[in-house]
Amino acid sequence: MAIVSVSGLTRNYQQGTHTIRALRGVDLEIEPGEFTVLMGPSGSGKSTLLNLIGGLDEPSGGAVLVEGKDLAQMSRTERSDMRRDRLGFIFQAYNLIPVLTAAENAEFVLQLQGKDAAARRKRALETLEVVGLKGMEDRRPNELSGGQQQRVAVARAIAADPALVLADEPTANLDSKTSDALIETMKRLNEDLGVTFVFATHDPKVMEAARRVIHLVDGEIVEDQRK
Amino acid sequence: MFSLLSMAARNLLRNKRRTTITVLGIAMGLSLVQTAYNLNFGNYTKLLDSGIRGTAGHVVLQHPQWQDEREVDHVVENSQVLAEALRADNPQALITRRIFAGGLLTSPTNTIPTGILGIDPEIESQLSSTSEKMVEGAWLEPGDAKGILIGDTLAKRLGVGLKGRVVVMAPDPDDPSESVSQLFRVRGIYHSGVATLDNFTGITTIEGAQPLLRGTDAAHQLAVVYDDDTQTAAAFAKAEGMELGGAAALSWKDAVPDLRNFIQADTQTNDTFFFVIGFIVVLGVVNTMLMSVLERVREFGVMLAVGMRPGRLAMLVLTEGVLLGAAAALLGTLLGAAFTYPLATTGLDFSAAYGETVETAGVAMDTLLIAKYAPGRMAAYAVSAIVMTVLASAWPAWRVTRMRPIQAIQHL
Repeated sequence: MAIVSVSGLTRNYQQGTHTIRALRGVDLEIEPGEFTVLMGPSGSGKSTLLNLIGGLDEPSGGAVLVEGKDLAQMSRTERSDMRRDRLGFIFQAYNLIPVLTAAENAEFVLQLQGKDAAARRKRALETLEVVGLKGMEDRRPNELSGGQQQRVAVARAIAADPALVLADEPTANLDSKTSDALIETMKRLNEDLGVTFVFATHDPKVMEAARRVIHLVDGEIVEDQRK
Repeated sequence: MFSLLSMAARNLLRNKRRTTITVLGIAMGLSLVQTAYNLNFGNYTKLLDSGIRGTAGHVVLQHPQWQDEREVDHVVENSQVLAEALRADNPQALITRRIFAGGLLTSPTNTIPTGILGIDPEIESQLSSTSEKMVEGAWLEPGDAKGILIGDTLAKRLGVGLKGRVVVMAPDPDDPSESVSQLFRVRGIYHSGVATLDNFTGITTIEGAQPLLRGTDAAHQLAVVYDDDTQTAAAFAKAEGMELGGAAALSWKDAVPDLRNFIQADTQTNDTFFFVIGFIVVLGVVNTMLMSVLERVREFGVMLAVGMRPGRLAMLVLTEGVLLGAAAALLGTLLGAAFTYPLATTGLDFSAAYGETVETAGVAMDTLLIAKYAPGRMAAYAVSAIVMTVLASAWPAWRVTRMRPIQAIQHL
């Protein structure tokens, strides 16, 4: 079964008297284990599509199903719980909670799930090791570089074994060396652990690493290429 | 490991200056309210003590109509027997009798309408401070039926001094169309600070005043006086259970309603003042919490995005309010105690402005105000400070629950 199934998805924004049609009827399915990139110029709708898949925003029309469940039929609390239990998120910036350490940020979702402290800690340390941050668990975000902070965000995103990780421009604020390292980490997670990733990006390095590239222009899918 | 509580504490410590200023603001407001209350409490305690002991009692026995109509005929008969019965029932209290008569006080040079107060001088000296306010002569001796004490202003108006003679003329209790007269010698002159006492009252013994009344062994009031108000209810119950021979028993609240009403009115005024201070402080806390929430919109957006329920996020903000309030309540209570201490030991002396005594609700009060620490009320104010701080956090917490994750993440 597809993890994500999108049909006829539209999203409109009102700017004064002008209506902006960010998505114009998108159909899409994401299968388990995919490493998918949504690419396109600014304003193409890639971030909008990502946000709708993640239940962070509400569509103007169409449907989004995550693991067969229609997000439109869910209450705010149910969507929160769905994000907590089944999805992971990596944002371009402001990913981490400043007052928590790297380990505490990594185990944050597990804490929301009510997992016991020892299990949370163990899993957090495991994921930090996987992303190459062993030994940095007690550092606060302001004691980590940008790349290290993004790796902690990746650790948090995968700690709860989500069905899908959604990443919006994760390399946008990083230098090329750090970007390469981060992309390599996520590729390894996808290939070795089967974590499903969907990226919204216009970083060519991410596109290069992807096995499926979906091009959007003006809110429509113009090309869907599998490698 | 972290919890909502530790996250809240860490959030407050992110901006130490703002948190410190907010805590100090609440604490100072609380300490001001507490100190003002303790000063008032000391004042009320003194006022009550003076008023109850000097003008009534914790429980009084009097004629059923005496409270509304202070007619000289409204007496309690066999007052000595009743007094003995009260003493037997209240061994730890002081029991005294009082007569409130009136007439013309005449000297060789003047005649002035006055009140005549008949007392048991030995007991009354322990209840009233007038015995300590003699400016000439001495307090009355028990059984001195010919001695009288007058206020310094009255003495001046009558043109008499110590050992001078005055005559009290009053209606004959057996035939009001006739009058009786009684000769007294001035044993002492006092200055109480209460205008009605100093200008219009002569004080004699029960034996000296009883000829002005009708009936056998009559008095207008029997008073039961304890060290404090805690025994009033029990004493009142005992008095009501006695054979009173037609007299009525009242507690001090009904016997001296002016005192009770004054304290009530003053308390209400103070409570209004305290509420205004609290409201101003709450406005400051609302502003602080709102600023703190608005600064963290994006952070909250990420927390909502990864699956934190809006209600739990609101609990985080409320927990920050609880911690702020708790820290301020602790500091404020400590400051309140520190500010109260010198006021409770040395006091506030207003004698330079108002003289040694001032009359309040008919009671002579020292102008040296001594605070009294009221632990129960201090705890109530501290808890109120925490509650008010949490309430001030409620609107910012509610705003957080209205946030849509994507709007919060994209907030500029």
